[in-house]
Amino acid sequence: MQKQLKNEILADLTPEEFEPRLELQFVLDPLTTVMTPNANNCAAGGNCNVKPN
Amino acid sequence: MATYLTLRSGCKVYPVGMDANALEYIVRTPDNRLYKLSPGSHAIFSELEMGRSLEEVCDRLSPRYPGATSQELQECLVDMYRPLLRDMDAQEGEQDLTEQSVWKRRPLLVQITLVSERWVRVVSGGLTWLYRPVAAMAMLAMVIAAHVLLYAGTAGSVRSVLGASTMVTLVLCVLSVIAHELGHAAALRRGGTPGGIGIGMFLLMPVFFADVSQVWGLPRRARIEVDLGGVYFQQIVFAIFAVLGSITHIQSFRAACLGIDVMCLIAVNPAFRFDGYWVLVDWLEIPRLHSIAQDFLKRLFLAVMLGRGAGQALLPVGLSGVRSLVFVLYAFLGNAFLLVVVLLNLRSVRASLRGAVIAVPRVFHELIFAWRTHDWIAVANSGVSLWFICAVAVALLGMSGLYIYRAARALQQWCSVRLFPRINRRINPLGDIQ
Repeated sequence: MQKQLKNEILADLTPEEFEPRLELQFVLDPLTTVMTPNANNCAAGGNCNVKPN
Repeated sequence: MATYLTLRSGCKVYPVGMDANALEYIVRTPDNRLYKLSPGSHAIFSELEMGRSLEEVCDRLSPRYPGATSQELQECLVDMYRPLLRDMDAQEGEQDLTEQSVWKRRPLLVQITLVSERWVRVVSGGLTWLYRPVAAMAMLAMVIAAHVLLYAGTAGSVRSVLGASTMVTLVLCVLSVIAHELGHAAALRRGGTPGGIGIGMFLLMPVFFADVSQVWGLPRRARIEVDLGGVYFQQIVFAIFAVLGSITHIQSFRAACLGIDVMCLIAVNPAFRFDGYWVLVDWLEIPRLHSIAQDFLKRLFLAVMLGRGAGQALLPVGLSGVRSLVFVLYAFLGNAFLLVVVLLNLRSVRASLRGAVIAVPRVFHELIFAWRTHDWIAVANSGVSLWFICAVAVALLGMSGLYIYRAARALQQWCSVRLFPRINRRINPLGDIQ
């Protein structure tokens, strides 16, 4: 049997196994991830030589 | 002598879908794997179940595949349906299905189940009432009111939560994420059986997960409800925290509310493999959406730039109208967004590492000072901060390394196929038929 024909049969007739499905949600800590620059007195962009207003 | 195939014991075929004209068929195995049957394979299963022999079925099938003999088709079918069918006359032996799976059974880098399936079933069963129309309307109204309450004034601004405790805020955020996972489980509980809930590492980021693998056996609308159930429950927690924050004036409640909204916004972005991605998968009814979208872009590029495959259909079969437009938009925007995230990520690694180098010694000294003065709350607070700063830096480094490794591997595979095909053929004589 030709490879192309075999591929066609496989594509038509192979039962497709569904992947195990995990619904993910990451944990965000707003104080350390969003507000660390404020806590460090650093301006945006991480430049700590310039104090924010 | 004729061969008669039958379903393996414990396997069950059942239809999915509301419309009798558009029914799909799914096979569930005893170890809870789900297989989708194509119309062609469902017809073969039906004929076998009606008592036709494998030889009869293949004789009827061979005109559809000129070039393949009935004997070759028999071998092909037996091989393809081995996980689901067995020879009636043969003894059913033990079979290690794990080896045959095309998917990793544990998709996360690290995956630890914290709440077993049994307990998730009990708890989520008690929460299904939140999906009744009246309850859902009332909850959504409460969520909108809570957002107005928090964001109408300055209560939702960054400055208003600077005094919040890191540890309390983190605990509140974790509680909201657990509610998020219970939301998925409760939605699935109405028509299926949810799996466990646990923690893991996704691209070196700590994540919670709910195993909803059985969702594939539900109709489309119910699948989308399961996908959105997480954000729905997390927003209910937002409303509760917003009310508690306004009553008690504890800033951690407000900080947690901000965190919940950021988490939900990221979760509904379909570019990542979070809730928004699964909503698109279910709405478009394309289970392997990400890889099919990448394949579409690749074939489009080859057709436009090199003229290969011109005239062939590029879109997946069955897509039309708005859904085909959404698929094309996802293919372009989703992949472009991921590319931008990767590039930004590479840029931010340096800044984040520099920030970590500055912050770690400071927080570490705070931790030591708190330890010496026996201020245990401050010890926990500084410890959590230290862990998070380090985790972000390590995750960024790890993700960058992973992307570079994948890019290098793809380049190496491309070189071996395109530049050195003869060597490749000698190493891999089967070529593309794997």
